[in-house]
Amino acid sequence: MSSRPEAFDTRPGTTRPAEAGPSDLAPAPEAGPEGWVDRHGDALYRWALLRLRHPEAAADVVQETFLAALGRHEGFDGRSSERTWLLGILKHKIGDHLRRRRRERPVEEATPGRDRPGSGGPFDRLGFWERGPKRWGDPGLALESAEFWETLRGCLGSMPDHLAETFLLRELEDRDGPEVCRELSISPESFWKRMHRARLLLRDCLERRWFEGP
Amino acid sequence: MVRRLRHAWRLLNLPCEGISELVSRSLDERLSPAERAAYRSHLVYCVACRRYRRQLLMLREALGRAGGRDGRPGSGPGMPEELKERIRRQLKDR
Repeated sequence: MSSRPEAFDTRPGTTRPAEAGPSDLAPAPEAGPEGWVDRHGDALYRWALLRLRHPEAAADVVQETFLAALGRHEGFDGRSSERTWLLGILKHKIGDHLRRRRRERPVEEATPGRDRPGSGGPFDRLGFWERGPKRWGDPGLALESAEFWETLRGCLGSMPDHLAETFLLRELEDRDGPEVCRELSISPESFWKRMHRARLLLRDCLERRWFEGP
Repeated sequence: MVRRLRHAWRLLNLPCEGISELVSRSLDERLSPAERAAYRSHLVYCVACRRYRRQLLMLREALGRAGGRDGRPGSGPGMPEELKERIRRQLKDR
């Protein structure tokens, strides 16, 4: 499995360098831990909330991140931006949190019948769309709307754990297929099935809750 | 040879369910030439599968933005104020 088929990969991050926003530049000499929460709190919290899909868990890991960063900030060499550095720590904390959660509560596969497209999914018995995708208007506008992000979070929140976990590792964390398979101990076939199922569910949810309106 | 032809024929006759699987998989790995041919020829006449592909690309853009890969993090409610205050106090006390 290669991670980036050039023909279809339109990820912004793969084609152009990140544009650093004002708050994302390397910290000024006077910048220090006292300003972290104001400068990066919202961004870190949003990331954690999307990844963990649970406000309390997101609050815990963000808090742990800032405290861990405090113990290490003498070692921060300014080679990356302060935001990137903190996000790196946050991702580690989230990884620890998820591995702990997986050990305590193994991610459950949905029952085979329910999880197969074509059985209660958007396809009819012959495999043609029963509820085909509708036109979405201007998706660019949606991405600028705070309510859209709320809806996206809600849709991810209602997705079965094993699908959300796979999908977010791939799409939010930008890990490639083999990495996700290793992390979750699943086969490539299982990975593709989960990704497809997750995309179908998320697409359907956004269409119903956002693009068609309540 | 016959087996390969049969395989290609089967791919070319896949209904939307199978094609949508290929659309999804094309975002995660390179498809075989036969799979690519099947998927592209289907998309020429199938509006629904074309839309499906466009929507998956939009989801990718959204998640990419949320992941901070284009430097424009997704918006939406930020950290609750009481949590900010708690962390500010903790950072100050240490």
